[in-house]
Amino acid sequence: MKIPISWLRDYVDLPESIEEMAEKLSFSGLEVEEIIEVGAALKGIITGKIEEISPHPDADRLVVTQVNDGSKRIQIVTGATNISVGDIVPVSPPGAVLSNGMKIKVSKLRGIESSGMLCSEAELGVADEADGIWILPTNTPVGVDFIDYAQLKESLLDIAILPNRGDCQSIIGTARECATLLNLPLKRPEFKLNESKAETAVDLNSKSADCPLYSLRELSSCSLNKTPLWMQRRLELCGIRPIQLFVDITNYVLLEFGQPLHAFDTNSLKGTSISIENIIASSTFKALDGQAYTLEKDDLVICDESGPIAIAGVMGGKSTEVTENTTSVSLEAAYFDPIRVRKTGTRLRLRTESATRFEKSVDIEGVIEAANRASYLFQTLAGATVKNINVFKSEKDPLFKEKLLNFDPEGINKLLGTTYERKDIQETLESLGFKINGDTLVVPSFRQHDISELPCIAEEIARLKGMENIPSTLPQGPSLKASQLASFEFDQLIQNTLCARGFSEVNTFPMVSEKSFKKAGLPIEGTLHIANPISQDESVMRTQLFVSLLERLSFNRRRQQKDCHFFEIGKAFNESIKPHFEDKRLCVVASGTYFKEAYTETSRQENTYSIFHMKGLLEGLFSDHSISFDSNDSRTFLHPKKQCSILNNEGQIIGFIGTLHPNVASEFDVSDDTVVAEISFLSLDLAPKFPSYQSVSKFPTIKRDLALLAPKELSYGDIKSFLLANKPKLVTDIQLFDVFESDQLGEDKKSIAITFTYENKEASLTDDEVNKSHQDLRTLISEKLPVSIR
Amino acid sequence: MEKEILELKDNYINSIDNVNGLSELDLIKSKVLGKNGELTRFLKQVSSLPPEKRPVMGQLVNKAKSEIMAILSAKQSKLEHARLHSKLSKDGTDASLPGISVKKGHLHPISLVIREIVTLFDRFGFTVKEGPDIESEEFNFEALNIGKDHPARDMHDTFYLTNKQLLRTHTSPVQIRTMLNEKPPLRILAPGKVYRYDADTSHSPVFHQIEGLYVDKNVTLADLKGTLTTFLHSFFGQDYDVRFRSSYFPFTEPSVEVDVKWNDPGSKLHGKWFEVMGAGLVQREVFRQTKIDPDLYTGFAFGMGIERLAMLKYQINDIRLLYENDSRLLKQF
Repeated sequence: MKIPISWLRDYVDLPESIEEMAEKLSFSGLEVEEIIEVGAALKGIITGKIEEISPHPDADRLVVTQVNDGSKRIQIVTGATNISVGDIVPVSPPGAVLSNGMKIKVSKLRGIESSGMLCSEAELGVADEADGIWILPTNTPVGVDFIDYAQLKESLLDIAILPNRGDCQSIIGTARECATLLNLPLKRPEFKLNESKAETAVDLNSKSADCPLYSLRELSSCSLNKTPLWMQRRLELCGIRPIQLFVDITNYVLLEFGQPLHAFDTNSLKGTSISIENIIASSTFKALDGQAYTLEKDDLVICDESGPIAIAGVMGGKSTEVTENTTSVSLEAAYFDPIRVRKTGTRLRLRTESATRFEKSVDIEGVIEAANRASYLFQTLAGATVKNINVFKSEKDPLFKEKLLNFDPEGINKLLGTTYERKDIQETLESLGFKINGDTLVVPSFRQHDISELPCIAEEIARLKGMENIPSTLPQGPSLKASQLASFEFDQLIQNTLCARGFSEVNTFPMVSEKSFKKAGLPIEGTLHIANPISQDESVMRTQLFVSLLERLSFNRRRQQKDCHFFEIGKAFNESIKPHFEDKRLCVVASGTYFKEAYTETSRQENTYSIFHMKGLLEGLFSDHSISFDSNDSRTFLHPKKQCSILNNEGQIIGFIGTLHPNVASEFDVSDDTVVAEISFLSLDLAPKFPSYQSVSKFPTIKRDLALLAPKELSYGDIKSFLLANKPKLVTDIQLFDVFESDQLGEDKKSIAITFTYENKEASLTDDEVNKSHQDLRTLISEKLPVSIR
Repeated sequence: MEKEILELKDNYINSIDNVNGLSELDLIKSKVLGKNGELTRFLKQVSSLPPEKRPVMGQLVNKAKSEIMAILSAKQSKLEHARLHSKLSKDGTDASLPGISVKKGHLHPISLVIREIVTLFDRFGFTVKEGPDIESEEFNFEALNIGKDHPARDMHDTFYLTNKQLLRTHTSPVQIRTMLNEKPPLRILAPGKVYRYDADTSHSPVFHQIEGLYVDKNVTLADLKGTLTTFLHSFFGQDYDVRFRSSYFPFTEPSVEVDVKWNDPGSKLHGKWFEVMGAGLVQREVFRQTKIDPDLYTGFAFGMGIERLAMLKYQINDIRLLYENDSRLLKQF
């Protein structure tokens, strides 16, 4: 909310410099986001009266005016079309400066001399844009310093009002806070209302608990005078556009007191009774803004005998709007339930000045005062006859009762960690408007909404006494730490290992585009969609991490960063994942060269990452988790021959590794040697394994090699599982040491060479027992596998 | 004879000293110590001497022999070493060629900041808790005292999923999950991604927060101040001023915002205050919602934006750079 300092000074004698006060406000909960200096550049603007307008001899779109500047006539050429002889307007003579810093000089426009400019509101920094020259009220004196007269220079406090401080959504509310903080008296506006004897002849009735207080007052014989400049200026400074006097008065009091008011055209009200009620069945309502809104059950409305005439606290209706023909205004001042107003306003997307105040609660004790203040302004500015106010009040509503809390200085100190004296605490609370009788605390009506328990009171003490005066202590309890969360430590281990292996961590958005799914050929079924995405690029929750990482590879490639080895530990999402629709995963991608500089034969050969490097990497990372690999061709986004599923120790698929399918690589615009791996942590036990020691053998091992000539289609995986299942007891390790194909072997054959390690932990092995055992193995292999031993 | 032996010894020692090659040394060796070597001859002569002279002469010859042998073997290892060195020196290896190594990998700056925070709070006994990104209205809002029609919902522009769940707008639901499942005393830290429907360029729809919660008997606002000040001094520097401003969050009361004053005379930021976190004492209503007795326990909670801390600490000026993942940026961390 924007607070003009000069307005604030009406109610509290602020010190000259406002910086210090702004800081005090910020520390105590009213955050001053900015001190805005309006019209800082302006210089030398005066008021002038247009006495003559004649056409420009050489330009159709320009006119030549003679302007009385209070002492002489000056000639000004202008392109404005909204001026007439007799208008009083702001003038910037030579030497004046406009709000954008432009300095005015004598100039010639199409050959005619022009000694300055007639100014619009935009040029004076009063409005963001303007249709023409600013025509001032006819009673504006001519030849005066207009900057001073119209308060064109002003400092504004831009305050972020927190949701619990509805009481500060007004100039007086802010002034009250300033007065308390600076220990100064608050000067409430003084005015004397002359009420006529006449009654506001209407029958008021609230049928809803959402409206415990409703008042209406007829202001008759109103003249729609021009809104005084000072009022226009204040509205504009606070960001409200002046419209016409009657509306401007209600807005002025809304800003001043924080109490929204509504002005009905009395003559367009049907019948003599007004009721406030919750809608029973949905209906359409045409509001002030000309739009039709659908009201739903429970929305609170004000009705005359024809039906709803206003959405309570949100917006008035078109049919009873005040217009230029209005001569009698019925002024509404009421208290509407905050939640009710918020529900309706939010649903209809009508975040009006009125709604934002009601939803943070207005001061129920201030409603009538605000009505009187507005009536006074109608009386003085529009010449209105003020009739008696008609008030409906649900006397039994708890809002009218004083809110009482226990006064517990000890409890406050205990919560804050302070040792303030009882008297000190009492005085501080009293300065905020609380009353204290013994052990009872009376909450002021304007704070009823947010003060409910001891911590609320403690907060008031903390902020008023200054946060800087709260001591700094460290918690006294014993350290609870047993061990860090296992999965967090596991993540760190993975991160550290991968970094050491040359992979850099990326961090990507979990929502992706449907297009990314299509590019990867992933099914869109079962995915979670965002109901209200900002853009289609981020509208679906990813089901696989690699999609995000491929996008990052592609991004880097477009920036000539082709050698990228990336990983991310992140979440993937799917409707079917229990219990939270998500699982944490690791995704690793490798693209381009691996070594920093590869200038030797062997390093050049090893310089691109193959799926075997990737497999080895994962085997190392997950060596405690008994993962295994199953080669297959089930994933269409991967090369059919270069992919494996990753299985957990129960044989369930928890991920994959593979080289990207060339089509997918080209869709994402990444290199087609890109190798990808993804593994879900969901089913893995990430707790660190407690090492269990096995004694090491004192006896030497014996190694025996075997070279098998196998058909090409027989996979090593199958041979290995056969060997693991059938190996002699003494074999403790089986290692592959060569695989090759050659013309001599034949087109459909390959050679596989394996080392078997024989070991006996109890005794020395003899050649005889190893030979025998190895011979048995050879026999078994030749019999059971379609291979020959070379 | 005695004189001859000593002369022979001195001659050979002299000539061994002058030898330059191993083959030459071998030659000398056989000449003096070989089967028919000169010293061997003397040794043979000893046996033909009268018995009383034998021991003296025998000793003399053996002494000469061992002296020559010692010098021979020293010379031999010296020459062998020289030969190996000269052979190795001819190896054409250029040791100034670069190392063959993989490029170094780097942690993302967001992870770096999370790790640092977790490590610092580790000292206060806080352990990490994780929670889901997809949350319910109940845990993200209602249990945190943000009812459906609470104006504080304006502070949370929420992404909803088509299955009626939402993407958590803060890490605070982890507080609720923890308090529902565990009994005080509690000291937890919850890092993670959060989501806000915030389309302007200085915000990101996805960012990271870290949430802290400490619940025990007699926890005070002073404890909050002390803990967070100690943390911020460790994170930014002892000479960074820290200040607390009164604020409002529905799930804490009293609530504060915490600012840090940049202290680096070389930086554009020097002397400016930056808001780094929100905090407060846990709302009694939140305790009631999680079945913890608010008359018995108090606690404090805090939350901070990781990106903001990372951007301040590493002087990164645009939040979006953190998600582009340009390898030239990543390399710097």
